[in-house]
Amino acid sequence: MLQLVRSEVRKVFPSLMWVALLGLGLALAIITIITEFNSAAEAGGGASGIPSEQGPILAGYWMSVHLAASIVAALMVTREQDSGAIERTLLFASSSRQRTLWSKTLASLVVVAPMALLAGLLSLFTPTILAAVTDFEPGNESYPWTTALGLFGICLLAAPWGVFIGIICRSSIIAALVLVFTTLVVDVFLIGSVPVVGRMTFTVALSSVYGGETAGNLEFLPGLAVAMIWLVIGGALASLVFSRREFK
Amino acid sequence: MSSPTIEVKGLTKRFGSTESVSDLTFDVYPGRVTGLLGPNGAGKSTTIRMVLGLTAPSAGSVKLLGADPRSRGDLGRLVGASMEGGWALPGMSARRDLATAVAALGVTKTRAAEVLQLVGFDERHLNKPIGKFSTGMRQRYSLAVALLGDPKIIVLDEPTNGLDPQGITWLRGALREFSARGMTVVVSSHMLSEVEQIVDDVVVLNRNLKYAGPLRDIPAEGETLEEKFFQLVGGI
Repeated sequence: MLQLVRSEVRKVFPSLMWVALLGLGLALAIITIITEFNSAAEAGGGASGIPSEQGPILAGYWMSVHLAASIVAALMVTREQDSGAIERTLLFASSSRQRTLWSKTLASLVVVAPMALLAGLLSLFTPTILAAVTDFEPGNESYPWTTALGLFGICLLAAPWGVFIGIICRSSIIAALVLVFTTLVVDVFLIGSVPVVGRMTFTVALSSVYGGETAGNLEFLPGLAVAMIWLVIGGALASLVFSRREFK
Repeated sequence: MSSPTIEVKGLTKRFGSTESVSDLTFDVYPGRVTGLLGPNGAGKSTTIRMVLGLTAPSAGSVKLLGADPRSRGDLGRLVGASMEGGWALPGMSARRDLATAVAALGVTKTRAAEVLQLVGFDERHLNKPIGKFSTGMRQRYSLAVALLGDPKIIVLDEPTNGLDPQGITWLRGALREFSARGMTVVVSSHMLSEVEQIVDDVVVLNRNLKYAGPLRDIPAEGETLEEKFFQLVGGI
């Protein structure tokens, strides 16, 4: 199993695709932070008027990296399914579909770990960086250790989610669209319009894990439980689909 | 004759209402090159996929050295295979692809260098994306990867496609050498004139079995394999 995991990691890390998707995730996060910071500054009559508690909230926008992580993980399976290379992977795994699925899932955790670490570190320094370049006063309580750990965790959780979506969707384009659309449109819409349902979505449950300030969020443990339930459902469905799929 | 390495009994595969392969029964022996022959769409690749455990049969069974391929934990190293068109990610460099294969099979880099040398693959091409390889280069590379785990069984789908005469001569020699070492070699092809010079046994199919046995004993009249083949499968 370890050999298969090592092989899967080597397929993706390091690669141009990995770097490009990380770049996209970071760019999305930076744009969101700048936009939200400017809105807060406008409301507070300038950067100095932003309450220090906003520091961890702004830092939490590095959550966008989890989307990049899930897409990288999805592509780890869809690219092989698109090209037929999955058959060789299966043969190397002695034609065991379960071994292939779980080796890819474990490898996805390794592949996104540097992304998760980067998101966590960047969030940790965000209030300080904002204070250095603007008049924002972060305050001592604003150093978001828990946010950083939470972000690290949710980027890791996004990896198996991406693998499962990739297996279920099969195609790279469809899997990427599903991940982007559910994360940026469906889940956001649901938490805004039907919070009781929205808080049960995977993305919003993840934001509960890092302590995001989305209205209607769950507490940490219920949020983690909801995310884990989604992963169990996704894993079971992916396992079922993958074990029955014909490749040719 | 020694006991068969591959035993196929009543093998059938249906995709929905279409029967791709129907009731195939044949054996493949070690130390011999066996040709899996049939026209396009005859079910050669589907049969190979079932032999490799990549596709589950709808009925019947396959045994590799006495066991179902999907229950063999050592299948990855027992069998070396390549399918038509290749199995690598097209944008990936051969060097990275080879590294992933080396890691998956748990073999050494020295072994990788050995098989590249064995198939005559110039290591200077390793940094190229596999998608940019010529067909001949891709065939040699696929064969090298298939040999990586030092398998007892080699299964090659259309290995002569895209090879120039020199490449075909080389492949013939290589396959003969593998079988002389006791390996079981299965080659699927629809290029009969090339295959005729490579194989000892043939399995002729066109969805169902037309003939399985030694090449020289094909129960059809004709001078060449091509003439006998058309008698068996019909056409022209």
